[in-house]
Amino acid sequence: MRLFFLVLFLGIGACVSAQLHGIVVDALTHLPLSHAHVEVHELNTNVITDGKGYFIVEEIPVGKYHLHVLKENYAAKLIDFTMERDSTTTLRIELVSSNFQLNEIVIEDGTSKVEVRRSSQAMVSFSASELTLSNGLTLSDKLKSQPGISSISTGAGMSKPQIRAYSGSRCFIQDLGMKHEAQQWGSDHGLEIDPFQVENIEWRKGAGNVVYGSDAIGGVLSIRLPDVPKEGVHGNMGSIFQSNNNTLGSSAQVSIRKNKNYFKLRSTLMNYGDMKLPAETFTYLRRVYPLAEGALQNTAGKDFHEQAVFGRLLSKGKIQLSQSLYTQRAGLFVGAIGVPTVGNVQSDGDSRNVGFPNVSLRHFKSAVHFSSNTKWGWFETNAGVQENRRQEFILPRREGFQPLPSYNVAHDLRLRTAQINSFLRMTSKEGVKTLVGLFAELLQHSRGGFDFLLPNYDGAQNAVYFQRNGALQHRKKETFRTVGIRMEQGRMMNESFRSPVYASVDSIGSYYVRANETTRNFLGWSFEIGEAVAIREGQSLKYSLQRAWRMPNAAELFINGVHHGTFRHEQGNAMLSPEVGYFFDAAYELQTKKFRLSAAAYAHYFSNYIFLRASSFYSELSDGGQVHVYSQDRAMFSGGELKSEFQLNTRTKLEWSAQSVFSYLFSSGTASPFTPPVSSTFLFQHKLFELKSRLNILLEVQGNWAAAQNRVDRNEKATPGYETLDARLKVEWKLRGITLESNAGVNNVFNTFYYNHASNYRRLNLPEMGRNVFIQTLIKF
Amino acid sequence: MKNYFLKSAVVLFVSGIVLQSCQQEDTTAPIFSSVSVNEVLGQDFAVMPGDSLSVRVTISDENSLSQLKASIHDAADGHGHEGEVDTAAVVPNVGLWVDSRIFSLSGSNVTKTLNYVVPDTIQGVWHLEFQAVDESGNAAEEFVIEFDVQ
Repeated sequence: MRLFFLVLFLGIGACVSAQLHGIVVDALTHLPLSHAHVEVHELNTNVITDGKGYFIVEEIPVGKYHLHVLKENYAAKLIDFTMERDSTTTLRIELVSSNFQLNEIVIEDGTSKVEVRRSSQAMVSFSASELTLSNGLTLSDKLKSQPGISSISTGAGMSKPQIRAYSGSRCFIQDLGMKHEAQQWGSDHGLEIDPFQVENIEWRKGAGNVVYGSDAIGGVLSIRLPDVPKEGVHGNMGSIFQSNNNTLGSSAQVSIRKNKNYFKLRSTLMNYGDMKLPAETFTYLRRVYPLAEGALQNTAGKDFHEQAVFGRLLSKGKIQLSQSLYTQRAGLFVGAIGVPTVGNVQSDGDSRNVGFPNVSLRHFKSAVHFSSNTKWGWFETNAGVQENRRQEFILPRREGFQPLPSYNVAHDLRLRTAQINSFLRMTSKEGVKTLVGLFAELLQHSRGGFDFLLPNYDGAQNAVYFQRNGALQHRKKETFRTVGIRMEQGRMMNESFRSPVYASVDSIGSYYVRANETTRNFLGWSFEIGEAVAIREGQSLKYSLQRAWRMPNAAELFINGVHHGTFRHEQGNAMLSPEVGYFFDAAYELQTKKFRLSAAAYAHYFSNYIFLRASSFYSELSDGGQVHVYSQDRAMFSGGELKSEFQLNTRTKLEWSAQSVFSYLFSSGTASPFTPPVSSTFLFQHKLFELKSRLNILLEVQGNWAAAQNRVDRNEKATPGYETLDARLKVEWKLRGITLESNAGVNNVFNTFYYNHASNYRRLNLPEMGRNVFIQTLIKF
Repeated sequence: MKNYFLKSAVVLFVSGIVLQSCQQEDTTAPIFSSVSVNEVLGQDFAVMPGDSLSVRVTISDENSLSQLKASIHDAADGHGHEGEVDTAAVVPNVGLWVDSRIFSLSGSNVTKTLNYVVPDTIQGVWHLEFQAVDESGNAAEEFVIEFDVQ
């Protein structure tokens, strides 16, 4: 490892910078285009063309780069160029007008920087504006408008993304260049990332194990590194209001750049009350209780987040230090933590207080990003530490004759991680892109509290990876092939834990062994091969085959206790083997002047899929119910997504999207739990008013349909289908360098009673939110 | 290469069809065929403190049963049970009556007799709740008996 870095840094020679000039024009009329965004992607540097279409990017180190050029009502463009020593490079960029902005063309993988055109996997990107103005309070909720992504939710403020049928440790989330490490094993645990902080997020469809590692078996959501801000002082402010649970949230960011140094600071505060549902009763372990005042009592909460970024552009790259802190204090629905009584699910008269039980979350991240243009290519390192603390506060209760605990902390789970990911991105003269990287991570987990779920454990993971993407010259049609391999090694070690079983009030009769001391070593590999083919103008096809390897996580190996968030006793299996999957993914895209279609299909087979299986025995613990044990089975997942857009005229657009997931556990012949139903949305978008690109008012009406989900896991409830309707008005107003964007509307206009099959509250027979009025705004200056 | 991909896709597709013919585990849940208290069938019983109760429960499954759980809990808060919703508020109970037993079972049709004595010091409403699972982990719809201790 030391030799690798030594060789790499020796390659970083003296640097001389150069200047890039250019003009952006309309391809047809050759008239200059003002206000086009030009980004030198390797440097995260943005400039905007002036009134005559000109742009200048100062002090670019010598080397190979590519530009992203974006302009409203034009197809985005991607241009490769080389900066020579002591030179000035001049570019003339012609943009073709298009009904679709086609920003997708500039999407590229966050690590390998392989553009979507060359990638053998489809990619989708969401910008900060899109996320801020989309529905939902959490990042997962905001992403679920994309077919193929759904959200496993627990109330209003907690949810995690589900990519196709995969969630938790099977979804890789990259934030600040690092793998986001929280207590992701719990399906009731949220993502703990502020949606306002996300400047851009990319979804890579299909497994990303070769570049991202073990946890990317179900997909990759990569939050792009914070952009380098424009010179001077800039900022933005976002706010959200939601009527259902009286959410009030606001977020503000200020960025300052002076020459090569920059600083960004964001702060977000979210405050929400008890969630209201169109229901009168709920069910806990088959007992039926009234839902007082139609509200989930004690689901109010407060989220606070801040992020600071310091950066400096170096002569050959940049260095960026980022720190973020996410905290949440939220009530947990009284009816979902232990067997409730009718008395304790009654309203306490205050819809905004956080009583017992509740959860306190704290996620701290400190990361450093360093990139430099070496004589071999771009060298990049992302390293950092994270601390995730989850405390669950429950009024003390005794287990049998056990003495009553003298404190309220049921669980205090603290996960500390440190990781480094270094890679070299090389581009040959022939345009072949090669990525070579090293990854290392350490994990340390400690527990506290009067209840038990996970023991203390330590873990480590190391990997080396290689990926190559190049054009196949002998093919008639433009074709790029991607080949990659990753070797991965990991270790998990846990401490033993025994909980006393009291024979009487003052004597311990025996001990219940919750965890035995175990050390597990894992070694495995992942492989990918795929192609991207430009069939003809406006049509492309991608396909890939992968062997994906995933190391079992701590919960799968060691958990043993009543997991209140899922209302059952969950038991790990320390003897689990790593999960191995064989994946086939394909994607097709068609683009004409007025019509656009993107389709993706997949078939994934696992030789030993890890899942929580209903056992044949009951828990000895109170509230435990039937024990669910982590087991392995052959499994298959297949399905697809479809999205079509039809621009009827300059004012009206229709959009239709659909998704389907089929899951199959071989031994039982049942579906995997939480498999999303077939669903579809239809969007009608009409521009009501336009004033010289300064004021735009857009009406959107969206119909949502989901089929009944009758293919369920053993003992899982089937979920009926539903239809809902949403309506919203979007306003964009530009005035003297200030842009105001607003989205106001009503979700579930007809207050439809429906269940979300992927909600943890589905098991309690609790429906989703009823009618909900929302207003979201974003001001940029 | 194209052929390679096509062949792989065909293999995956065929395997999807073949898997339908694989031998699979039982996914049918067991059922409570009959439950009687002192040889009387039903779900609501008025009993007196000190009464002896002989509860006879018969469970059946397509394959093999694994466990039966019988637990008594306070029902004075008025909660109901799935399929038997009863959320009427009741006067708080007097005294405690808590009992939880887990029995291992074998065979596809099992009859079990459980004996209880109603504590002398109690008054109010309690539920005797039966749950059962089979060897494959299929859980039966629970069966609940309500005791009105007078």
